[in-house]
Amino acid sequence: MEVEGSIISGLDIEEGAEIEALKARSTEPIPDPDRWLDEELRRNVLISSLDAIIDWGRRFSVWPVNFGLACCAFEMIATAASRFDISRFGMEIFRASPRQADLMIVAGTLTWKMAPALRRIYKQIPEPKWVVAMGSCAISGGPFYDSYSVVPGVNRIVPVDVYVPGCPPRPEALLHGLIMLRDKINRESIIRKR
Amino acid sequence: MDWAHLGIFVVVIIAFFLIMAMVFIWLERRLIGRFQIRLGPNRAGPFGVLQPVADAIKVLIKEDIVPARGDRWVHFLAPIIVFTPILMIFAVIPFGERAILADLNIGILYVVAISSIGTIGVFMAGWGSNNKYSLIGAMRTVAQMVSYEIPLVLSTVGVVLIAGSLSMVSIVEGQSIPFILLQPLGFLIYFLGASAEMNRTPFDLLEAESEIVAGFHTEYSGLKFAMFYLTEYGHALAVSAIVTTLYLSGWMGPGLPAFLWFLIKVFFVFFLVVWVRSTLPRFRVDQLMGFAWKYLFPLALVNIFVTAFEVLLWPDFPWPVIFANIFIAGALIVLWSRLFPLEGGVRFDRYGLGIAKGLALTFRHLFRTPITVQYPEERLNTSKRIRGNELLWDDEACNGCGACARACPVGIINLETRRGPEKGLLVERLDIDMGCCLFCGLCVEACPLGALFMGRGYERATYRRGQLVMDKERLALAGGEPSAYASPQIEAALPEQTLLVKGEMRGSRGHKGEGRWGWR
Repeated sequence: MEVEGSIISGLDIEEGAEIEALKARSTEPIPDPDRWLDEELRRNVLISSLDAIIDWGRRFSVWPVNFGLACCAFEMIATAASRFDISRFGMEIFRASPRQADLMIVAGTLTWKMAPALRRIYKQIPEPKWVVAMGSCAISGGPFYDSYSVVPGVNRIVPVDVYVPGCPPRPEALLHGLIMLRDKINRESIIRKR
Repeated sequence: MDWAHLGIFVVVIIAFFLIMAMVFIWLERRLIGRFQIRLGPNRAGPFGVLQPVADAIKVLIKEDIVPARGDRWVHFLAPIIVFTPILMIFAVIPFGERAILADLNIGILYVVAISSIGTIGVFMAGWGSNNKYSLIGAMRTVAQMVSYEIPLVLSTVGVVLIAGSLSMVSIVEGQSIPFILLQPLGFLIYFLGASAEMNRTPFDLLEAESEIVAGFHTEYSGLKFAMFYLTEYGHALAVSAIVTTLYLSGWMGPGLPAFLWFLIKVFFVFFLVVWVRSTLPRFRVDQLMGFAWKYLFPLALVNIFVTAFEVLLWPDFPWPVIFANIFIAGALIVLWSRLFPLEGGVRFDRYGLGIAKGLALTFRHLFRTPITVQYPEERLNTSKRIRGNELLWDDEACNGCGACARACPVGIINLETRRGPEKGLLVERLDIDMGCCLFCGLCVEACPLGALFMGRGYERATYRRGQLVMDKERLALAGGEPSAYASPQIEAALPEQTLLVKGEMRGSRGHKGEGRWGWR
């Protein structure tokens, strides 16, 4: 499709088509992975002690992917800096490669243009993986929830484990969310499908 | 040498290697924390000592991904080829008197030869991943390791000349005076070259996150990545041990047992490595290559000649020669930096002082109280007028006028009223979606009766999206603490804001704690 005097190239059109397809696929939010949160699991001794060790390891070593989308990212950076020091929980190893990460902190406004990239990063993280939606924009689109260009909540694209409200949340609020995530990890079991 | 000695010693070395690599991981993360006036990992076990154990458990059961179009076998073999040579270096490290696996008469040569093999593994990792960033990272590594290998080897020649032997044991026994005093320039070149060999900052640009994601191990996950991670610290351990042996007189020292002296020196060298890492940013690629070929290589050559002359003329190394050596080292460094500025006109006499200042600053940080607020246990007093992440609603005061809903820029306040028997309007339903709220406070300002408050709380994270929609009961005033935002009448009753818990600075105005622990 050649338009006179336009800079639209084939790549742009392909990207637009991909985004439109994703948009059409994600009209409904993905349900929160919380079905098992309230149920009490009957475990035998072997599995529960194995669970205890594995959950302990996973809980103390949650490495986030090193990326931020908008202003919330600065609060995330502040959380990692000296005053609030995310490293106390063993989380300071922000991995640049999603292959080595466990956690995706979606910090900021997610536009439809960025959505395929975010989805790809999520898919590149090896199991087990968790997602924290940080700030109003990530949770629901925030003030842009009815915008043509903003995803109304990242739970349209990826399942979200913990929602941290705020605009942006304070570093303590994010830490509280991460502590809740640790509690959630602690309740997981190897015999239960997440 | 009998087989029992060999077998036991191999097991001991592997155990020593694994334990010390874990200790180094913990130590580095704690030390970097202190260099940055924070705490570092302190939750897993006492002082966070179990942090590497937790990392190991997690990484072992993490999903292992092999790139679909990658070279499967090369991808699989690369971590092993990187890991094994590092372990093999320890065969010739003397841990104490007679505590050595094999006292080869070509000890240093063996170390140099073995440690170069790792480069092949790194390149295999980059090639087998079928990822452009991996390949670029691997190419950088090969260029860097090949370049720095040369000054590294040349700088050890000075030690060999003085000791008159290539055997590690003879070198240690030859050090009545530690060789760092006789070979200050050689030590510096070896230290820098070894930092580049083990890819530590400022030479870590093969995994420069801002440029090439994670370098050659971008595509590695799970156990294979753990091998690379362990190798990094194992290499640091090996380099620390070699520096100890070559320049710090190995196990020898007064009073304490030999092995303890060895450990102390190894930890000291590792401390230096971490100190440099926490202070300096990384080089640019062209600067890196220029640094190896224009500085380290010629200086290492000059060092060999100077040492050779000294060995010929004063084989006993009297004290004046030692001082002269230190002076020569300083003069040579300054001379070379004037002759060859790095690319971009960076000159040593300009940035050299800066490096010293930076190192001094980070060292001073070690003795400062960390400014970290241990969040769940310690809390900062927030500002009196904070717009926290909650809204509080006073049922008694509200008359259901709907000013808040009209003021809301996002339109998330859902208010339904009906006519009551006595009061004008009764609030039937009040829903506010906190997952969409801006916390701008316009609704609070708009309220004519002061029935809506911003709360001071911020801990409102949930597992479920639906729980973020607050209804009448969850907005109730009793559920939180109102802040003085737009309601100055309660401001006096609230506690002063604090910015630090343990440091002395209290209050946002008036720097009471100006001084040793205060902000500067």
